[in-house]
Amino acid sequence: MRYEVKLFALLKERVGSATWVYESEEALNAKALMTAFFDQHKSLEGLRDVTRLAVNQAFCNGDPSLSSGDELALIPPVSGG
Amino acid sequence: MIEITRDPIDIPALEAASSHPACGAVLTFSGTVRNHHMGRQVVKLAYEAYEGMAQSEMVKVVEEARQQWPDIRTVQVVHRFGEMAVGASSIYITVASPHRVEGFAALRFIIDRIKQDVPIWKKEFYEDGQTDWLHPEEGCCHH
Repeated sequence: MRYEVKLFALLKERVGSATWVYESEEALNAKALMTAFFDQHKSLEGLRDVTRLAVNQAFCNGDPSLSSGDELALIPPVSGG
Repeated sequence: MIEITRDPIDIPALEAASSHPACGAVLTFSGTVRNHHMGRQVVKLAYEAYEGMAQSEMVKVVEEARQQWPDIRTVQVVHRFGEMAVGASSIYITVASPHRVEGFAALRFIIDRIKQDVPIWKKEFYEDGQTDWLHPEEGCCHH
């Protein structure tokens, strides 16, 4: 399965790309995908526990399974307003 | 009107459309770009938005406010993103309500929830040339 995840703000800046692509042999749930991301990007450890995953432009509840066609985005703590 | 935009917010247009004949209170909130943060001089800001989701989350926030305070009538929320200078309005909210108490409560709820759940991020540019993304729950910058 190939997952494309949109990145914003500090995540985008540190990774150097607006998209993070992850290939997995098996289908992943939300938490497993987030774990894979933060395991790959140790400099972002401070955001691991406070970043949320959005699936198809809505915050996901619990730990849903993901499809390769889902629109995925990592949402670090927001600072709008 | 609930929208996000790169353009300067048309405040006079929002004010002109803010009232409602059944309402005795029109509450307005303008969030503006501040010139300092944690003792550092801020020269400008850039807001980044996840546009589609920011729009839909703002709609959800207003729907929740309407459920909690069913008497409120006209509600407008415009959030600007992109670069803006100190003093610019980055968000403008109006709430018309028959009486002021529920209007204040609804307005406070709306801005608080936007700051919690709408995917928009602030990057500050400091006088010394440094920049920072603000991610409040990371422990660096509570507002």
